[in-house]
Amino acid sequence: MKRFVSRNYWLVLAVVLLSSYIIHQQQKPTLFAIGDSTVKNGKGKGDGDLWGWADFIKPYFDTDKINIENHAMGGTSSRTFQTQGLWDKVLAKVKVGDYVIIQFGHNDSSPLNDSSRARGTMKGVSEDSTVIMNLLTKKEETVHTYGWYMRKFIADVKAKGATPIICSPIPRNDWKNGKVIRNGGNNYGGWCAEIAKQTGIAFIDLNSITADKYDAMGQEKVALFFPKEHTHTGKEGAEINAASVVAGLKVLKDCKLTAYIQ
Amino acid sequence: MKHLKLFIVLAAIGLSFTFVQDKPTLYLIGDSTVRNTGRPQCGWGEMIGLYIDSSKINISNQAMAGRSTRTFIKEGRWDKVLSTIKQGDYLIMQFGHNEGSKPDTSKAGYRGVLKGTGEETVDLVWPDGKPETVHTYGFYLRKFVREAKAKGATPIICSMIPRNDWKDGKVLRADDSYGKWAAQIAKEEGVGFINLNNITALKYEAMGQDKVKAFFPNEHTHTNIEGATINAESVVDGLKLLTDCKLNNYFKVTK
Repeated sequence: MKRFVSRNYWLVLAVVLLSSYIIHQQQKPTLFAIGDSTVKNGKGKGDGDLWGWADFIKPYFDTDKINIENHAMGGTSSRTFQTQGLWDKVLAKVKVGDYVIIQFGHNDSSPLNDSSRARGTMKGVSEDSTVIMNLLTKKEETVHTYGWYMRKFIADVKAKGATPIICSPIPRNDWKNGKVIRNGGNNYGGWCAEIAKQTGIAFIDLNSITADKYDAMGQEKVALFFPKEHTHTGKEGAEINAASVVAGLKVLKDCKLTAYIQ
Repeated sequence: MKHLKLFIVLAAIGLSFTFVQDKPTLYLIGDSTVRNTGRPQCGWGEMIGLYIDSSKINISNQAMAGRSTRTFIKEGRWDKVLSTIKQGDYLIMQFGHNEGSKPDTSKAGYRGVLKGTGEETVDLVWPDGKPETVHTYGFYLRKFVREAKAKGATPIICSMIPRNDWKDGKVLRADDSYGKWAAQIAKEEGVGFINLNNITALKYEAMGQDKVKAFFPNEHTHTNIEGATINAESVVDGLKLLTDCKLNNYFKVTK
């Protein structure tokens, strides 16, 4: 062994360094982002000049101390992120001390049942449910409310000893009387706030924080952040929303994630 | 006949390469107010893609935080730009925030330049024995302009973005110093000048001191994303005043 070590000094050193690096990476907590295309668009490489905000939060964090992983998937709702098995894959990676930021809503208002996506959820936060014969999967499925699916994410994260954080959906480029239309009240933004309160977890009102910025910039300038249509932002709009998420995090009391912000 | 087919195929491949290469590039050089990776701060060069059509022109933001005209060259950053800039490209430069210290080899003076636009120099010797000749701000801008022109590219000079410094309800201008010298070099060398300092200052004054404060998350120099967006817009406002500048053909067509 001694001879092996002395002869292969560099190899041994490399193995030791690599394994200590891996252990170090594993010991660091991870911030996971899950959500729809406004969190990660396509493969997160600017496909079609569109970007999600979680691809731009890294520079705000001390990545020597925390890993950032963006697992959002375009086209998903709070329901299909779970039913397609995407959530189980993320959950398998979540460990004690990690953080999961959750932002859904843009695709939850789609039809509950059709042969193309079948991704809608029931409105609100109640325990209501309905049984459908899913035209896409050709299987029977119990569809719940938006709140039910969000509570499921939260309970799963908590059960792992990790910290869930809810974000209201980013605002669309829709205006009324010179103001961006908010997603609060009896809508996904309002339901997010309610779910966070019910479950006693942190809530970032991303929708309002960004909408306030858009109002200040004005409709003409904000239009530049939406290169294609009213929902998906380009790089610069994703940057604005990333800044809003961090601004929302910073004002959270008792959220230890703020300690990792540079 | 066989050869003709081969020739056509090769010609088509060749032409498509030329076409790809023909897409010009807009290079940006400058300091942290042009590119800043330390969020929440953001440089205007990071937001200029809002206005420039990237399907028709590449944007290469080579600005680097903390650099003056002197250190940008000394570190080989300018040579790197020069090695790739080509005929038909554009170069926008904005320096001034890091030039102010007395040039020497100290921690404070390593990036300082001589004031003005003249040919005077100061000779320094670093502790390791290496000599360095430091020139004026204007000298360095002239170097960027002439060397870009020699490559067939179009240089454009920007005055530096205004700081969040006010006096009697007005934003302090840089028109007694770096702004003035930047304008002077542009005039002498016959290249486009964007008075970014003044264009944005006018906007700030229209918004008022309270609103403007929100663009500066840390101190009086570095803006956040919203501030960077305003400055990017100002650069474009300034470009539009340069009626002969062909870079104006690459703006996004607003819907």
